[in-house]
Order: sequence, then structure tokens, then C-alpha cells
Amino acid sequence: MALAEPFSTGNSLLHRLDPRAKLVAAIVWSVTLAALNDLRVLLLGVICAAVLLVAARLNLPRLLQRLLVVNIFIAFLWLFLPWSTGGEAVATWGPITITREGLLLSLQLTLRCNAIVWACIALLGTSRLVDVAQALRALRVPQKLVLILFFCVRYIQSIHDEYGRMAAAIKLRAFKPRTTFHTYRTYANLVGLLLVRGHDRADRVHEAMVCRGFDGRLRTLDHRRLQKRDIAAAALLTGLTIILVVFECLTTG
Amino acid sequence: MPDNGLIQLEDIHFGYPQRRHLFAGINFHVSGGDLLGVVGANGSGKTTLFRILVGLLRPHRGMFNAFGRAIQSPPDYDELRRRIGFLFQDSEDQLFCPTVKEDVAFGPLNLGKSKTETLRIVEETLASLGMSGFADRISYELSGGEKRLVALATALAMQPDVLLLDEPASGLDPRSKRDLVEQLARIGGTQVIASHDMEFVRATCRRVIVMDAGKIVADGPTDAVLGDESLMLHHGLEVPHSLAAEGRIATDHHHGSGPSHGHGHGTSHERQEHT
Ligand SMILES: Nc1ncnc2c1ncn2[C@@H]1O[C@H](COP(=O)(O)OP(=O)(O)O)[C@@H](O)[C@H]1O
Ligand SMILES: [Mg+2]
Repeated sequence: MALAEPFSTGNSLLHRLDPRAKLVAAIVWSVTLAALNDLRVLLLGVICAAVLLVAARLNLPRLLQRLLVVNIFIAFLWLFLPWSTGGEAVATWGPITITREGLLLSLQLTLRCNAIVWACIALLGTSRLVDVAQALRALRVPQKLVLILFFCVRYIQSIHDEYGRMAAAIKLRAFKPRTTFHTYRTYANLVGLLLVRGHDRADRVHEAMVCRGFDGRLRTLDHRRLQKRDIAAAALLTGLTIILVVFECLTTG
Repeated sequence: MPDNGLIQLEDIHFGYPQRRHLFAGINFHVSGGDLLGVVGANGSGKTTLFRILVGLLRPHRGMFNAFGRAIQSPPDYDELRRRIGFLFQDSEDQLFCPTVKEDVAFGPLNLGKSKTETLRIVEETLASLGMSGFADRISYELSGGEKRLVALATALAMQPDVLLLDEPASGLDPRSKRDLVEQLARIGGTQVIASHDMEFVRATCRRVIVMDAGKIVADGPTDAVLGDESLMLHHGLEVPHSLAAEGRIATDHHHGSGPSHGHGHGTSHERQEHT
């Protein structure tokens, strides 16, 4: 159950900002960073994102755990890109040639991913799922799409919870993973059961919502007005993004 | 039919694809002010009955009346769910908002209550359950007993006319169970409680029906039904220890205070009618 919005409660400035302002900032930031290429500019982006993370004052162990997961994926890029990208050789081991371009590309992707993910955790992770859903509505995203996203996240949560329970049950019966047919079959069963149970649970959650008058519209207690603070924050982050773009233009042009 | 009948199921048929004829014509009624226990072994159909009562499942055949009208169209079911509060067997299914306050507020907001009124309802409901300090707690970090009470609060916040509680005592430690008994006694009103915890039923209900394999096999005053040893054993249940200790078990079928259908020849027959 650790998956259930671990960063959404807190008291930092970022937690208090209106989700709509944060959502806009996160979208602008992500789209821009995805288009930037200069390593120095990307590094600057990572630094900005780190500042946001610090400002969000999140639970450090949980944060590190999450960042680790992201970077495990990135580590796979480092396994393949340096030798599979053509270009100027910097080192050769037998048939494998590490290229300068490959290394730069890996570095670029690492910086870009982290700058985006860090900022999104700081901006969106600090709001609750329902609030982000409402912010999407406020930005005129169709209700159906918002609900699909909402339930998608909830299904993932319930599948994750079920996994915890079933993994414990399997361990209790002295199951040890090996490279045997038995192991594979056990895992295959586990995955199948997981999907079924996760689906069942999400269904019951939906029923619980229906029992309490849910009619397809998410309502929450907070109907706040955008305050100057929120607009200022969104403007600040957008301004920062523009500065990064300007830097990029200066360095390449 | 009693004048103050709130809910009547007549000749209801229902089944699952794997269990085609689970309910083959069952009759069930709840009157205003009833504290009704529904006991039966696992798989006897208690949860299914409740899910029909709140319209999560539609009967295949039969008559369903509630609050003085027939329940047929989707708007009828919406109205039904507004007036019947349902405590799920597993509280985890029922709590889906990050904080307790929001979970309790979810129902009233859907009923169109204003934000201020909703907040007032949330405060009052939590206070009445002795959980005022829990408003800003994170739902999934609560203990089992606390979760059960919060789930109960989410149902109560809808200000229902009837409360359906599915296995409310399961998984609770003795103290949480006693707390829950007290709370339910205080809440009063009309309650239907499914359970296979006989002590809990005895502590909370005045009338009890026994279910077995989709049939209602007995219906009567709590102590008379729960104290009927052959009936209980025959349907995979047991006489509550407290009743046994008081020496009030009816081993003899002609016991004067037997269940209201006054069975005199064994108890395995299907019994569906009542007073
Ligand atoms: N969703 C379902 N699909 C198929 N069969 C079900 C489903 N839910 C319950 N059943 C079956 O219906 C019977 C009654 O179940 P249920 O109402 O949950 O009983 P209880 O709540 O008394 O334990 C059981 O035999 C159960 O296996
Ligand atoms: Mg059940």
C-alpha cells in the first residue's frame, strides 16, 4: 500500500499550491525538456528540478526508492547505447566499440529523464490523485479521459496491493525462485491471479463509490480559487523554462 | 405484511453463472426499527442478498419493494442506494480517498450537499463515532478496527434509513468488537447485520434469520433462533457460548420460545415465512 500517493500529504509550499497551477507548470516543463539537447542546459534543468524536490520536503527514503526505480530503467540505456550508437570511438574491447556519441546520448537521456521525473514528482506527486484529476478537468480534458486515468492509477494500486499479499502467501509456503519449470509456472499463475484479483478489487471499489452516489463526476472538498501565489508559481516555472530554451538557442546558435 | 415494512423481497430468483440457482424464490423483509441478524455459513448467500438489496446485483425474477415503492428502473436504484447504507465485508474496498475526511465527505458531496454542510456532516459523523481526531489521517495507514469505523462513518454520512453491515465484526480484536457493538447500539435505527460471529449477532440483533445454500431456513427472535442447537448445528453454525452458559439452549424442538415458525419436526425444512 506504499504506492498509494506517498508524497501527497505534506506541508511544503509545493503541497499548498493549486494543482491546476502545478499541472500547467509540469506540462510546460516536460514538453520543453523533452525537446532540449544541450548537456549544459539539461544539467541546469536537473538542478532546477532538484531545487523543486528539496522545496517539496518529501520523505527521503521513499523518494530515493522511487528515483532508484527510474534510474534502473536508465541504467539499461547505459548498457546498450554506448556501443550501439555509431560515431567516434573512445574505447574498444574486442568486438565492442564505445563511441563518444553513444556516451553523450546516454548522458543526455539520463539528464533529461531525471529533470522531467524529478519535477513531476515535486509538482504532481504533491497533489492527491483526485485533485490532479480535477485539475485535468479544469484544463478542459474530457471527463471520460480523466476517469480512465483515475481508475488506471487505482487499478495499478490495487494490483500492487494484491501482489504484496500474494508474494507473502507464496513465501510462507517456502517457495524459492529457481530456473525451473515449477518456478516459471508459479510466476505465470501469480501474474494471472494478480490481474484477476486486482480487477475484482477495483470493481468493488467502484461499487463502493456507486453505493455512495457516484455518478461519474468526481467531487472533492476543495474548490479553491486560484490565488496570486499559484499564478506566480506557475509563471515562475514557465519563465524558468523559457530561460532554458533561450540558453539552448544561444549555445547552438 | 407489516405496515412499517421498509424492504420486501418476494419470490426472488438469482444466480451466478457458476451457481445458477443460488436464490430460488426467497422472501425477505425488513421493518422500520428492525435489528436483524443474517447468519449462515460461508457461501450461504448473505453478501449476495445484501448486494441485491443495494442494487449492485439485479434479481432475475421476483418482486422488490422498498420504502413503499417497487424498485425497477435505474433511478429507483439510485434512490435506494441513497437510503440504504452498506458497510462492505472488506473495509479496504470502501476507503479510496487519501484522507479520512475526504472519504467521509464523498457521499454527501455526491448527494449535492454544499461544502460547508458536508464538512459539518463529516465532523458530526466522526465525532459521533469517537473519531474526531482522525479527520486528516491517511486512510490506508489506519488499523483494522479504525478502518471499519471509518467505513461505517462513510455509510452513516449519507444519513441512510437502513444500514446493511456485511460481516462487520470479522477481523476485529475483542475490544474493537465491543466498541463496534456499542456504536451500533447507539446508532440504532434499522440495521441488518450479516455475520457468522454468533456472539456479535446476539449482542446487536433482536431478530435473526438463518441462511443456508441460498435459502432462508429460520426466522425468529435472536435467542430463540441462536439457542436452537439442532437448527444451528444442522446449518453449520454453533450456539453462542454466552447463551449456552446461561443454560438457554433449546435441544428439544417443542421448546416454548422457539423460532416464530414454531417448527415441531426438525429444522431442516425451508422456512420463509414469519409473523
Ligand atoms: N461474483 C460471484 N461469481 C460467482 N459466484 C459467486 C460470486 N459471489 C458469490 N458467489 C457464490 O455464491 C454463493 C454465495 O456467496 P456469498 O453471497 O458471498 O455468501 P456469504 O456472504 O454468505 O459467504 C457462494 O457459493 C459463492 O461461491
Ligand atoms: Mg459474505
